[in-house]
Amino acid sequence: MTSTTGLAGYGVGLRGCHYRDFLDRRPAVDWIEVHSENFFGDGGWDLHVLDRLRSEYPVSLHGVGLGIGSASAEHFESHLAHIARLVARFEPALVSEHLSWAAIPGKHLNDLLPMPLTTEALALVSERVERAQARLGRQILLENVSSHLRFAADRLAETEFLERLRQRTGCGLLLDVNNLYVNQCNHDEEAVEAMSALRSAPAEIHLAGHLVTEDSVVDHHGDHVAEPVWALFREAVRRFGEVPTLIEWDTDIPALEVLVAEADKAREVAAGALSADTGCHG
Amino acid sequence: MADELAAIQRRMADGLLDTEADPVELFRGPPAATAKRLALYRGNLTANWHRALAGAYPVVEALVGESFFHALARRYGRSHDYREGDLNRFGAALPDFLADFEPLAGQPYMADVARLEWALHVAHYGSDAAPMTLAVLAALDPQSLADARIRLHPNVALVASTWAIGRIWRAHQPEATETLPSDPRGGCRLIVHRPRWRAECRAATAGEFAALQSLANGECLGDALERAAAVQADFDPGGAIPRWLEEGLWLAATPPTRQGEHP
Repeated sequence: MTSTTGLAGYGVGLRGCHYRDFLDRRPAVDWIEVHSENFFGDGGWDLHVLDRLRSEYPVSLHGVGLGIGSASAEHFESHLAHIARLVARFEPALVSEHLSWAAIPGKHLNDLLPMPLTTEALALVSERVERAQARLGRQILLENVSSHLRFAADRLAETEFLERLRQRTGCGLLLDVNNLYVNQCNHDEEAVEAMSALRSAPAEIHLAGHLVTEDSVVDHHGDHVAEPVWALFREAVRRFGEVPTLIEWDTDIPALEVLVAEADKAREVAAGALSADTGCHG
Repeated sequence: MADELAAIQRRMADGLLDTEADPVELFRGPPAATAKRLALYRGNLTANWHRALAGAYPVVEALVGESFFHALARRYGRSHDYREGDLNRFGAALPDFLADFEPLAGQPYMADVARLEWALHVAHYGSDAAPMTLAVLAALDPQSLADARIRLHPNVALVASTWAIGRIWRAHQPEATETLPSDPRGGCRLIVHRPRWRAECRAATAGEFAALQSLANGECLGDALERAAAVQADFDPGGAIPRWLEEGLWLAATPPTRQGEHP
């Protein structure tokens, strides 16, 4: 199985409102990530844009609709076939999915619903990851999600679940640091402790903004990365070293410059964390 | 135990689809707070449905208003058993849904507006296949040409309505030069196609529409042109065919198989 290579540094999520800016100005980001499902069509503008940008930037395919942890598998193979078509066409540097479920028999709910973190679920997700990796002929990454709820049936912490999944299947991890923070707020799960469950570096890190509401903290991807999340990012870099890092922005999307500046900030924060670390030990 | 996962997911899904069911006992934490958080997921579901439909049906949304459209998205999403993880095709059944949607009985043109918008949406994400050129046509002798079957480009759709849906749609475009008609009556025949990256629609004459419909039904070009002449006395194939090719409406021509020849 081929491992994931060819992508490093700081990227941004490519969204439709920035296509023109990317085509005209080729902003200075190290790589781009797209939502796979936006490219499931037979043709058209989206695929055309990605074709053109593919030669300029390494691309990461990030799926939001597979619902890999759904007990119902009726949508699984057809969805995977679409991803396989994109993998063959764009040869992405990374392919990722979420540790979440989305469908029951006869109905897809089109959301990133939290997994019951049980051993039964671990067995099911392991089998699905193996099927996906066999079908795509490559490693995929699984991402920790933010959630408003935790199940009474849970027996594992989410990062513990993901680490076991990685050991079983050889998949990679996509660590969303904002999601760790959101879950720390929503479920009193210490984010630093959650990171400690990982025995080695993730293959990718996500950073995004969140929204604090009365009932829950919402991972809305509609703001700058918050200060406590930068602090956790520093901690992640100290533990794992520099990891390909992405800025995600999906609601109230600002001008591209704002995203690029946020990616530059991530680069500076990581450099700061590493030099402080060196200073401490050297 | 083996099916615990499926049971949990089923019960949570029921809770999201049905506002009456709050399966709070599935979750940790106090029931009142859990119910509020379940409601956040329920809200996400409707918001995702709304966004998916608004992407494909901006004119319908403008006509009915955002809050009505939001409620419509929830009704449609709950009643429509959508099985795909890709929301781009979520709205495929909306035109038929609108045709039977009681609250819109006073706006009977809405389903046809939706049909037009769906055809444009499908064309936007449709094939990049190169259309047939005039040179291919010119290479056929006149008899082969008359007997040829023409495949329309997959992005082409023929939309006819007894309502003025073309004018209604055009009035909502950013560069609109026409205003919304005060009377929605007045039929139209429209051709949807995608010249390059942007899907468009234009009005077709009765003859054009009849001919293209006939080709789409698998009839040969000669028959299609006869149908056009039958509904439009001044139909001019010498003008129409080059225009269709210019617009990329045709994908390919299959010459007739000769007698005794095995395909």
